[in-house]
Amino acid sequence: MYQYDDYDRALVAERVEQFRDQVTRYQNGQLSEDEFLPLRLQNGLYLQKHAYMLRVAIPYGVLSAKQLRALAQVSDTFDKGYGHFTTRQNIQFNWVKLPEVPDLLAFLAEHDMHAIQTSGNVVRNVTTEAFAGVAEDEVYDPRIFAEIIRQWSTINPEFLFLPRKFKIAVSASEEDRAAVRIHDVGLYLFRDSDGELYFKVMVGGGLGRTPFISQTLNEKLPWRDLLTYLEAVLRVFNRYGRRDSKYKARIKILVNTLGIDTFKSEVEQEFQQIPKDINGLTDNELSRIASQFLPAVYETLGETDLEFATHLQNNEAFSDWYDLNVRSHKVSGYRSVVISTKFPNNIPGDVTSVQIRGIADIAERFGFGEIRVTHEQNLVLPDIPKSSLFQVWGALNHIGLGLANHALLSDMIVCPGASYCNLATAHSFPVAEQVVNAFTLEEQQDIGPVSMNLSGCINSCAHHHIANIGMLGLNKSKTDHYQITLGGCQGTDSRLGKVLGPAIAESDLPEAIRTIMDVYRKYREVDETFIQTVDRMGLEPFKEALYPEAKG
Amino acid sequence: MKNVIIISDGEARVDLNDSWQFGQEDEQIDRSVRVDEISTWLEHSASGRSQGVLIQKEEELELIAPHLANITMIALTFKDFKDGRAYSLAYLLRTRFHFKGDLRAVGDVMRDQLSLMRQCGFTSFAIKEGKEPFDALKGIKGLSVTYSGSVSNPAPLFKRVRRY
Ligand code: HEM
Ligand code: SF4
Repeated sequence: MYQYDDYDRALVAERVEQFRDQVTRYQNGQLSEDEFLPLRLQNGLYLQKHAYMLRVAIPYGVLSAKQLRALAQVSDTFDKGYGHFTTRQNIQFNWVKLPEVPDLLAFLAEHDMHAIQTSGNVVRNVTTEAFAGVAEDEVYDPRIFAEIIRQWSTINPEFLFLPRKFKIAVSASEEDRAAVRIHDVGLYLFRDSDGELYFKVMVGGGLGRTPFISQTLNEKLPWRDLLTYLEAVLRVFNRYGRRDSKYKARIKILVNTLGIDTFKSEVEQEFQQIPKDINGLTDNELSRIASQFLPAVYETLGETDLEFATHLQNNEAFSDWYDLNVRSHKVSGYRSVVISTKFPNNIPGDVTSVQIRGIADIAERFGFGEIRVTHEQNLVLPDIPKSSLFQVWGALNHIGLGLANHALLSDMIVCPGASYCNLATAHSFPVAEQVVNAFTLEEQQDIGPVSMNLSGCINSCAHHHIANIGMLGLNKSKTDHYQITLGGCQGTDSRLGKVLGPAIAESDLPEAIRTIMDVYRKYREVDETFIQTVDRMGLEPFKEALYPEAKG
Repeated sequence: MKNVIIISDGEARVDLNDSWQFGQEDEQIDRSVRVDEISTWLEHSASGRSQGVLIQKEEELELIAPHLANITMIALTFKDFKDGRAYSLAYLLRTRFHFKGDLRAVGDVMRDQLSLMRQCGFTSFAIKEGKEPFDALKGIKGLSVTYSGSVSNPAPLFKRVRRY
């Protein structure tokens, strides 16, 4: 993973002291609530229902075992012994106290971590996929560009008071596993026929009240011009983005009001006027950042392993877990392991300090001490020798994290909802749990891969619009109701789900999901996944089953 | 103007005797120290135009751009410190239109944003009424490490220093 140098370290340390001073001045009354608000947001601090919440940055979802242990210590010292991993590859602590936050940040800084720009109207944590650097289908390691963007956007003085938050995602593989198209700017890295690196730049994605899938802004941007181009996009957004309404301020609204062509020519005009050499990326800088990542040193391992084959043969639970939670690796003899943080073992994304420490130990013992956070709120051990998988599985089970459900129905993305969030219109965790509990693991395996996301309000923190089955919590006549959308998906061909019908009462939701699954099982053809059946059949059969009274 | 911080020769200091004044209808203020709104400024004949101009809106940038050689000071308004448009306007005035005079931040201007303003090319700051200018002075410096380039320091860190 990226190793800080003295500059990185100095910046983070000074930032902590700057914030410490701001907190003191706020407590003394020298800074008003309104004046303090953006300062604390730019340092990741929200005020929630019951307490302050701190969102700690996990740049593009990469952590070392040491950092993971530091997070465990934070959760024990400053929180209630757990943390919540988010869809944006960060971690949130829900019970922090304002006077303690500067010390918490200072502790993080000692471990090369921070909470800078994890909230506020700024460029947020740049995200990428969890298998960066180990995936077989990637053209280049996206973390290197994500780090370059991270540095450029961190406390960039022109862009700290944007109209609204700004999220950038990078993907460098054939399959988009980073939900690139719901980001304000999405970057697809590719090689042309000469092997040169370029970006396809997407703009204007975002969910919430008015969901949009992004559109193409630039088909072929040379990698050297990346920062200059981002500067042009952000300057156009900063100047012309709407500031009169919070709900119309994201770049997606600007893009769709102007139309992609007009927006594109604004960006192009701005881009042409910026001297390219100033921010132009160089081969040197690219290889310097790459070398700061200290590439893993793989052993030459064979694929043949008789002991492993025996375990697979004799142990059904292990073989289920292997089928579902283990992914191929670019290096022979290695695999990547997905650690599920989901029901029934965990509350989605919530991991206790004991589990966090356990994961750190496993990562060090069997991998290269590196851990990734996925945007589905799971964790990944990227480099595990195939011959260690059985032991890893055992060790994970020991800390309650051996659940074999990756990509199944119970691998839900769920936001905190009314449990912590003061914007919530409905509960998230308890309902999601009821839905999941309505299905046995065997049933889930029979149903196969399906994405189900549940958000507690229209802000869509759980990305419900791009789930195969999306659930949105609404409050109707005192009881929580859930609007169901069907047919959404992520990836290069992302689509927004369509509303099936009137919202369904909380108590009826598990049965409703069962009805949907029954329709799928009735109509599916051999090897057809849930989303493929929905695509082929359309919404009608699902509507008919779910709302029989509406028929005719 | 009251509560002014100026940067001259790389040093920031509080200037309690700043002579710039906003133009008033009923008052005669010498054009060498007067700051007029851009619309008023354009109405005057060339010889009566004030040396300072106030820009309050994004659109006014176009109006002032052709006249920069005749102006010594531009006051850019932060109507609300959370509205960051003036940072981009400052960048454009300095880098694209090569404005060489004094660029002053006026309006909702406070300590915790001063270093950002400085980096975007502002050279003086009329601190918001009710805020202590000597306290605000502490906000000029900011962090000693910046990754990105800016008006005051155009090269990004990776071109400014040797990082390995
Ligand atoms: C609990 C405290 C939280 C609050 C107050 C909060 C608030 C918000 C708000 C207001 C938005 C909409 C912004 C907009 O569209 O302009 C938003 C978006 C988002 N939040 Fe949260 N959030 C919280 C927690 C989370 C968590 C736990 C996650 C991850 C599981 C998350 C992930 C996201 C994502 C991915 C978006 C972007 C959706 C989009 O593309 O529009 N948030 N959040
Ligand atoms: S979707 Fe709504 S309820 Fe859920 S975390 Fe986001 S703001 Fe809160």
